Order: sequence, then structure tokens, then C-alpha cells
Amino acid sequence: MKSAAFDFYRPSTLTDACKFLSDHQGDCRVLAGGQTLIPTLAMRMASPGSLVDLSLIDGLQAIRYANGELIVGAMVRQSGLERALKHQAHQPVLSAVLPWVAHPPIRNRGTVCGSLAHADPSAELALALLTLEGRVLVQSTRGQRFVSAKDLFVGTLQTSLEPDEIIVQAHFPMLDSSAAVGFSEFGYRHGDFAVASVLLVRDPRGVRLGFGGVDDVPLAFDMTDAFHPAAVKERILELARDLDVRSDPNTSSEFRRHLLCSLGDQAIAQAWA
Amino acid sequence: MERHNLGVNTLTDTPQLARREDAYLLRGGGAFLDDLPVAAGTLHAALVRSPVAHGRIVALRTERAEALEGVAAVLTFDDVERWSDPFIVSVKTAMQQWPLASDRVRYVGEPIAVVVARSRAVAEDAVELIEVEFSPLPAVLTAEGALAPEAPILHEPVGSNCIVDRCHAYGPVEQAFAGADHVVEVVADYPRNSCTPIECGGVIASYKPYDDSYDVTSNFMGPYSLHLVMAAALRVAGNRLRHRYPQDSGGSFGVKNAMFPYVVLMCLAARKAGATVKYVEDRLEHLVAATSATARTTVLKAAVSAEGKIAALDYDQIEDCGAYLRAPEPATLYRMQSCMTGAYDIRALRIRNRVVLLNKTPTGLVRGFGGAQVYYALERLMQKIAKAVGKTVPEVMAMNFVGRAAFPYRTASGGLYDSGDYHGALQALERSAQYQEILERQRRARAEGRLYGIGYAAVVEPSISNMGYVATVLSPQQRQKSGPKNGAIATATVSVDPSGSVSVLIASTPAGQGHLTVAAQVTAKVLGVRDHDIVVNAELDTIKDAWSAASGNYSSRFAGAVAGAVHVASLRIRERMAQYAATLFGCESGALRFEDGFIFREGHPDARTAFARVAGAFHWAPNTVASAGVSAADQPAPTASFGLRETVFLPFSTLAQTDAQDHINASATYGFVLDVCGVEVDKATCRPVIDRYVSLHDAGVIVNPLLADGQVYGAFAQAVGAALYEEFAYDGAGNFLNGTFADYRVPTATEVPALHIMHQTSPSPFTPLGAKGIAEGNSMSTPVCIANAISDAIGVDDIQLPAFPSKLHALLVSAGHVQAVPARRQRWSDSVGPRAVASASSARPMSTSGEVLVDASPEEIFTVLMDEGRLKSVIPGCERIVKRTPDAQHIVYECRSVIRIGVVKAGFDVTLQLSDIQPPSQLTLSGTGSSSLGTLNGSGVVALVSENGKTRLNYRYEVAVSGKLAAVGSRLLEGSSRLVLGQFFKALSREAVAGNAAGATTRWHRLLRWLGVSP
Repeated sequence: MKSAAFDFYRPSTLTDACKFLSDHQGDCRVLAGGQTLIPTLAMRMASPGSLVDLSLIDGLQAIRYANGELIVGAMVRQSGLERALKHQAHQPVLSAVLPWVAHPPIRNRGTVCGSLAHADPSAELALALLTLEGRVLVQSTRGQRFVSAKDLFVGTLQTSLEPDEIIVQAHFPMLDSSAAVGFSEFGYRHGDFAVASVLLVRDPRGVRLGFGGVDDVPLAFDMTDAFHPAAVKERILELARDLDVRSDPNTSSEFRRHLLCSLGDQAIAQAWA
Repeated sequence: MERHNLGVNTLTDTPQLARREDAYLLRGGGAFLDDLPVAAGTLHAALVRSPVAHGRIVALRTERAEALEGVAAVLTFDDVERWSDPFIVSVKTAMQQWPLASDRVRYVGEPIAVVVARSRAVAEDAVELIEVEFSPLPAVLTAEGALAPEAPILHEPVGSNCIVDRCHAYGPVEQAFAGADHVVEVVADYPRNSCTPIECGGVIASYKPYDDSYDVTSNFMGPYSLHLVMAAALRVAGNRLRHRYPQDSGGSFGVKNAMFPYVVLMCLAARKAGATVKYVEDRLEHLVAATSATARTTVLKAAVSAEGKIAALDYDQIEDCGAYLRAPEPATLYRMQSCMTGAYDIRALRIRNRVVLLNKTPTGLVRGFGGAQVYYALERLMQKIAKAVGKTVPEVMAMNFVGRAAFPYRTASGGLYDSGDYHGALQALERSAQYQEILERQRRARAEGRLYGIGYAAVVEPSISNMGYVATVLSPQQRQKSGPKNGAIATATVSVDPSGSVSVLIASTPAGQGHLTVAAQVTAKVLGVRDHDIVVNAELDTIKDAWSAASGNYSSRFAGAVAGAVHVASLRIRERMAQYAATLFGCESGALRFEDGFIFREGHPDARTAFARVAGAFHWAPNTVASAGVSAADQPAPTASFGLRETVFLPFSTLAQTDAQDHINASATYGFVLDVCGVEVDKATCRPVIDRYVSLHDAGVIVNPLLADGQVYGAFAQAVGAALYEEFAYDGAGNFLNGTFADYRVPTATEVPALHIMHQTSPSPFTPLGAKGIAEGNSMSTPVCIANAISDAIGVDDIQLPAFPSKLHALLVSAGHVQAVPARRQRWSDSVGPRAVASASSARPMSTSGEVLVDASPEEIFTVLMDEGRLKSVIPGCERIVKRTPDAQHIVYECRSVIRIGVVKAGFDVTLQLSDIQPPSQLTLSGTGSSSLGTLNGSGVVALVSENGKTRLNYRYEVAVSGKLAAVGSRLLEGSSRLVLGQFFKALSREAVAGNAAGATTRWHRLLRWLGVSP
């Protein structure tokens, strides 16, 4: 192991975890699946003084339904949710996006809430939560509070959470049984970070559209006026032209705008299949 | 996987003989370098590496690291200079390369110091405590830039960045071009890439002061000609550098050749620490700084007749070898010198070779070594010639191929093609159902308006390198002076012990290919024993084993050379045993057959004796054997040795040194590969999709078909990477951008399509088994075959590898295949730098801009910027701040700031500079931050416009990031810099609003007075 030395704390209650995090503010990181944190430590891109591990805390492994929401605990692995969703069909958005989250070995360790806390602009789960208008329950020594997805993601790898807050649950709204979903993603290789992704959720309330990978945060748009595929297509084209679409060393903005349109076409075809 | 043997004559009766390596590797029995037991008290090394591409080292402070508990030593250049010499180079040059940077760093990742400590973690802690101050120098990043007259010179004593400029002419070139109907030209840029082994490099080294010797175990793969280079650098004789190679190496592909500077470095570190030192390279280090294939710009012209017959080729090659010409470079250029005319009968050839040094990682062996670069130009040219003369590519190939009757064929530049049937191969390919299917699929796709292209490539695959070929770079006079170098000695030892069991030792330093399987198979066949009863050991020890300058694992030399040496050694053992066995049966030794563990007398089914019994006699009853009259034919009694241990040194007599006219036969054997593929470029994603790929190989006799096809698949997969996915990327300042497998995109199983392999067999007359190499053919043929198919699909000539979708998008738009989606508003960042299309040569500053509406006056914002106390709450994570230069036109703050971006967190020493101050409307605000993760540099103009009592604050920034931050985070750097700048300006706005309440006007007037501006 090449990381710098750190104190390791593995509490059995959430209260203890919050206390520890609060006591070591600014110099303690929460460890759940560790799929980003551990390589970051090994590369010494971060050297926190301590880690607080959530894996032995009771109740964080649960997946349940309540009040029209699918509630996912902080230690639910992405593959765990993927498996759980195979047995029911009310959350087609998560069923559609989860196979696109990295590779199976990463999903076996990586947690759903960890991905949300990491706030990668390309992350499929962040896009899903935002497009579904979901929320997270966060806890600190000051108590619990809900943060809506639209307030959660504020920048590249940046959430609005305080440093001493832990995401303890993600709440994904359930969809009407008549809802249809389209999801299309482009990555350079299978399992890569999305270069761009388009998520469409179509239900009696209207159409919600989400874009991943194009800006510093996932983007979602409500289109109560666009019920027809041609109108959605037109809207996607307009957005592709209007948005400040980012570029990186491998991807021009021009190409990302093109991708938004063609991924949009694929997502529309699925949602109106 | 399907196989077609076109009259194959395989060596073995069990062609699918399973790999003996798999059983132990899959059950955890591998012994890789990091698995080996080490001596008690072994210490661990970590390296300080350069975060910048080019700079002078102004100061190196190691005291804090040395004082850290657990640190044994810090090795710096002073130690290196005291105990070693610069590495020997293949050309005469004033350039010096040492295992540590001297007073100057020349590429990102260049080692500067080594920390030796009780654990790697402590060593890494100490690395963070070492302070290096650089005075930056402009980085040279392209071959063209390196040759420019005003270019900064990397190695001043050389006087130029061009370290080699040689012309070679063979045959009547001028005449051919003068008489040509067409002169067809291509310009080809081959990118920097690598083949990345799953196990990185590793060294365990110790120093014995009592006899001034070094003892090293490492996965350095050879050629062992470099053993001499290492020993010379360490100032010891070869026998005082004991080098051992572990049982297993997790892939090599040429790149573990580049471990040799680390072997020397760790020897010196061990000497300084007075203990055994272990170093294991991590993935980031490997990608950033281990090695790379050369990038090459080739201008290739052909003199072509109206029908398409090529009379002459004229190459102008400029090779980027990185920051140092590291041995054995410029071998990438000269390995191919014998086969620059490829599979074609072209009698006139001219080559100009220039090698330039620039601020990137030094280059070296990478699978396909030189072949990918040459054929990328040559086979793109063939497609262009076909177009120019109105024929198909196969027609033009057939017209120019070396004919079957011409073998062994001497090429214009001196290569001796041992055997082949190129026309037969083309016919076999054209007749195949797979090829017909590709043609049909293209017809169908095109009818549907899809972009489907067909690519071809025919390549000659050299194997078993001549030890003398690199000397072709020298002038004939220089060669004369340096003495002859030729041949390609392969060694193998076969022995039979007193129990009659057989062992084989080979100096082939395998890295997963299955050498043990084949060596056992070859010996088993000769001696008539079961292959799984034979033990094969490839743990080369330079003190105890038979090895030579050419030993090692490169140039696809195993099947042709090493397996051949095993075969010859086994034959000698059999001959000796047969002499004695013949006396038992009273027959000639030629009448004996070795089979199933017995020695039979042919035609006498009852006359047999156990192999072990005959072998045992050589150990238990040597006098009986002697009295039977056995002796090695060339040895006189009574000193004749009749032990059952035979070591063979196989020289390869066709491999002469370069002659006075620069003719060189650089390889012992020349295989042939003919590829065809169908590629569709998907308009929706701009992704090139390999629909069908057929690869026909003629590698002579196939010793083990399973392993041969495995090599074809492996080379193909890595070549798909080179064609479509992999490139070492640098930004405009020479910062390295893809230091993890998230960004350096090696294709996975999902990205590598099925491959249809065909075989043809033209046995080599020059190798004991008739075998040639097969492991590099697709590394050479596949990148260009795919490029040809993409070019055919989209009708564009200028295809740049790797064919990233983003690049293809631009081509598809300009060719009218895809409609652009123009942005409605021009982004500022789009209007400054070149387009954000990835390319190693793209100098693209990251740009970001933003705007905040502040509920305060511009004057108030200005006063915040001038006040260190208030600025402290504006700078993200600022722990302390000092105003350094109280000069009105130039205000400098120095501060310490902890910056967090997601999980990443680091303390930066920041210098903020305010200049071009025009109160209250504009100023330039630039910042430089340095940390153990690298540096951040931002410079931008801040404009303030008063608007109804508020201020519209606009900022436009260019940001550069170096070191680990750039190597690991390139995908997110733009967003991250936007985040940090956004935080800064939001905080600035908050602070201005807070201060607006009271005293603003007074403060403003005070400021103006201080700036010397009258209110």
C-alpha cells in the first residue's frame, strides 16, 4: 500500500460515524465502496488524516419502497440494486442506466450513494436522480435533512453538502406503470465514463430529458409542452446548439453536440417504441 | 476462432498442445517479481519525478526527506555521477543520458532522485518532502518544432535537436522517378503509443562492496546486449553485474527493455543505502515515463508506371525518439531497413532518416517495432497508387509482389527474404468465403447509404534481429572502427539426469507467450519422451546460465531461434545416446527410433530399451559407455566429454554486418501477413466499427498452432488499440495527459472484434525448425489496414491514427456525411485555441470564462483585490497570505491554499499577481500554484462594468495544469478549473458586497492615491 498513513474508524452506528466525521472536520473522508477514494489515496491525490468506514453500520444495506419512492441505503452496491431491480419493473430508469455504470467488478463494490456523493458530471446515477427529480437524505451531528437532486450537484465533482454530512439514503421517485424510458450513452470503450448520455422519461405528466457528460453537472429539462417525438427531437437540437457544451482532450464540443442529437434520436426511439 | 491450414506441415502430432503455463498461473502459482522472496532488511524505493517537460533544476532540497523516520537514503545526481557513467548510445553523440536527471529535466516523469525507506509508503511520504525548484524552459513537442531554427535545444553539446541525419540510396532512384508515369505521395504521421503489460517493471538490487559487484533480479527482458550497457554504466565488468530474470513476467511486448536504466538506478540506490532495494513501478509511472513507440512523420513517394508497377520508393522519415536517444534507438528506424520495400519487388530505394529529440518520454521497443510506422506509410501509399492508376488494391499488390520463384529474395537494401508465396496467399484470400462476404457486405451497406470501407495491408514481418543492424546508422568509417556486429545467437541447454529425466534451460525471458510449452514439445518430439515429463526453466541467471548478446524476448525470435536451439541441442543429446544404444543392439545409430520413453531398433519390434536406462548409463557407468566407443564426434578420446548436457549457441549465418553501401540483412526470417477488413463508420456516433477482419499469415512451419494463433490475436488486439484507441497525449506545454487506463484507453475484450485467421506455410530454409516469427505481424499490418478501410469508407485521404470518433466527426462533417450542429453562441474558449480535438500534437490551452453580477461597485471590488486581509477570505482554502511587492503596477501576493476538487485535496503554494491594473475597469490577475500533485497556472483578464449600481464582472482565463493532476484528471480539468475560478469570483463578490456597507468611498480614494492615480 502506498497511500499516506491515516486513521481508520469503522463505527457500528450512524451517530458515531457523524460524530467522528464532525470531530475530524476537513480531514476525514467517508469510505463506502471506495471505487474512487481508494485509487485516489494510492495515487496520493488526497491524503486525509482519517477515513470513516460505513460498511458495518446496520440499516444502510436496505433497498425499500415507501411513498412512491425507491429508497436506497448508503451501503447498497450498484450491482445489488441492479439485481434487486430485476425482480420488479417500477424503476425502468435505474434498470436502464445501471448496466452502463463502469464494469461489473466496479459495480460489485461501488455504492449508489457513493456515486451521487462523488458527483462526476458523466455519472449515470446522478443523471437518473436528477432527471427523476429525486433527492437524498443526509445526516450530520445536526440531524437529518433532504437535499433535492437539483440542489445537490453544483459543479465538477462538487455537491452542495457540508463536509460533515453523509448521504444515508437516495430516494428515486417511482414511475407510473405507463411511463416509458429511453436511455442512450456514448463512451469510448464499454464501461468508460460517458462522453455524453441522454435520458428520456415519458409519462402522463410530460417528458423529462436529462443530459450527462455535457456540462460540469448533469442537466435535466422538463418538457411538458413536448409530447411528440418530433417536438422532443427539435428541443434536443435546440439545447445542443444553446448549451455551453464542454470539451476535453479527447472530445470537441462540436462532437458532443452531434452526439447529443444522435443519442437523443436513439433515446426517443426507445421511449416511443 | 477458425483456422485454415493451407497445406500446413506442423511439427507436432498434437497440434493443440495445451500451455503448461496455464495450470500454475491460473492456480496462483506464478512467481512474478513482486512475488519473490527478498533478503531480510530489504528496503523500498520511490522516485521523485519531474512534473514539467523542460526546465533547469535550480535547487534540490532533500534534507526534510532524509530526516524522516524510516528513510535510509536519498540518491541524487551527485551519487550517480560519483559511481556511474552515462549510458552507451548507438550513435556518436555528445548527448549524455544518466539514470537521473543532471541539472536539467527533459520530459515529464524523468527521475530526479530516489528515496530508499523501510516501506514504499514511507518512501512516498519522503518524496513529498523533497523540494525541487525549476527554472522553466520552453518545451519542444513536435518533430517539426524540434527542427525549427529557433527551437530551444535539449542537449546543448549536440548543437541541434536532430541527432541523426542519414541518407541511404540503393539502385537507380533518380532514373526511376524521371521515367515514372505517376509520382504518388503520402504523408503519414504515426502517433506515440505503447503496448502496456499488466505487470509493470520491477527491480530488486544489491551491492557487494567487498568485490564491487551488483546482484539484480528484474523483469528486464533483453536483448542482453544491454547487459553490457548496464555494466558499463556501473563501471563493472559483465560478470560483476549478476542479472537474474524471474520465472514469470506479466507481459513485455518490448517495453520491458526500457527497464534497464532502472536496473542501474536501483543498483546505485542499493549502494547508497547499503541494503537490498526493491522498486516496483506503478501504473502511473509506467504510462507517464516508461517508454513509447516512436512517433514518425513520413513523406513517401513512389515512381509508378501507368499500369501501377512501382519502380522506386523515396522515404523521408523524421523519427521522434523523445528526450534522450536511449539504447538501442534509433533501432526502431533501422530494424526495418532491409524491408522498406515491403512485399514488393522494387529495385530502387532512397531513404532519408532524421532522428529528433524533444520533450517527451524516450522511446524504445514496442511490439511491431518500426513495422507499424513503415507500413502505415507504405500501405496507405498502395491504396493511393491503386486509385491513381484506376485499379483495385489487390491488383496493384499482385502486380508488384515478389514472385514465388524469387526466394530467397535479396531486397534493394540487402534483406534476404527466406521464403514465401505472396501471390498464392492473395489468391487464397480472394477465394475465401470470408473475403467474398466482406465484398458483399460492402455492396449491401453502400446500397443502404451506410459508410462501409474495405482496407488491405500486405506486410513482410521480419523476425530474429541481426545484432548488427543498428550500426547501419553509422557511417561506413565509423562502423569499421567499432568492429563487426552480426548474427543473432540463440542459446539453449538440454540435459538428462541420472534418473533419465530431461531438463531444458532457455535464455528467452518469456513474458507469458508459452515458451516452456514449446521447448518441452520440441525436446519431447526429438527424444521420444512425454512432454509433461520434461522440466523447462527460463529463469535466466547471467552467472550460471548460457546466454549471449542476443538473448532475450524480442523480435519474435522464439520459434525460429530459441526453439531451434532447443531442437539442435536435443538432436545432439539423441545422437550421443543413440551411439551407445546402437552398440547394445549391434546396429547403426541411424536405425534407432526414440519414442514413448523407449529406444527402438527400426524393423525389430522386440529390440527396445528404456530411454532412462540408456541415459542412466552415461551417469552410473561412464566407463561402459566409453568402452562402447561413444564420443562426441569432434572430441578426441580420452578427454572426450560424453555427459548428457548440451548447450547450443546458434549464430544464424545469413546475418552479416552492414556493408560499405549500407546493405543490411537485419533479420534472419521474413514472414508474410495479408490482411483485409471491412469497417463501417457509424454516422450517429462517428465510431469506426470493425465489421469483419481476415488475417492470413505465412510464418513458415507453425510449431504450436494454439500459441501461434494466440500471438496473432494478441498483436491484433494491441493494434486495434493503436488504430482506434491508444495515444500518449501531451498538452501544449508538454504535460502528460493520460496516466491511467481511464484515459489511456487500451481496448478490452468488448472492443476487439473476432478475427478470422488463415495460415500458409513456406518453411524457412534458415531456421532449424523451418519456423519464423508470428507475434508482430498484426502490430504492423492492422493499424494501416484499418486506416485504409476508414479512408475507403468516408472517401477521405488524410486519416490520422488513432481514429478517435471526435476526429472522425470533423472529417465526416467536412466530407458532407454528417451535418454539423453549430453552437448558437460562440464560446469564448472555442475562439482562442485550436479545436479541442485530441492529438498528441494539439497545443490546446484550457480556457474558461464566467460572469458574476455583484451588488457592489467596481471600485469596491478593486479595493478587495488590493487588500491582503480581505483577499484571504476570497481565495479558496487560503491559510495564510503575504503581500510581497508593494509596487503600484505589479502587486504580488504569496499564499498557502488548500484546494479540494471532489476527493482530491492538496496544499498549494500560490503566487498571485495583479498587473496591467486599470482601475476601476480592468486588470490582469494571474496565479501560479505548486504542490506535490503538480502545478496550476492561470492567467486572465478581469473586466468590471458598472451597471445600475451593480457590477458585471467578467473573467476569461487560460489555465495550464501539470504533473499528476494533468496525468490523472485531464477529463475533468476544464470543469475543475471552472469550479475553482467560480469559487474565487463568487467569494470576491461576497466580500465586496459585505464591504460595500461602510467606508467604500474612503477606501477607494486611498487606493487611488496609493496607485498614483488622481481621483
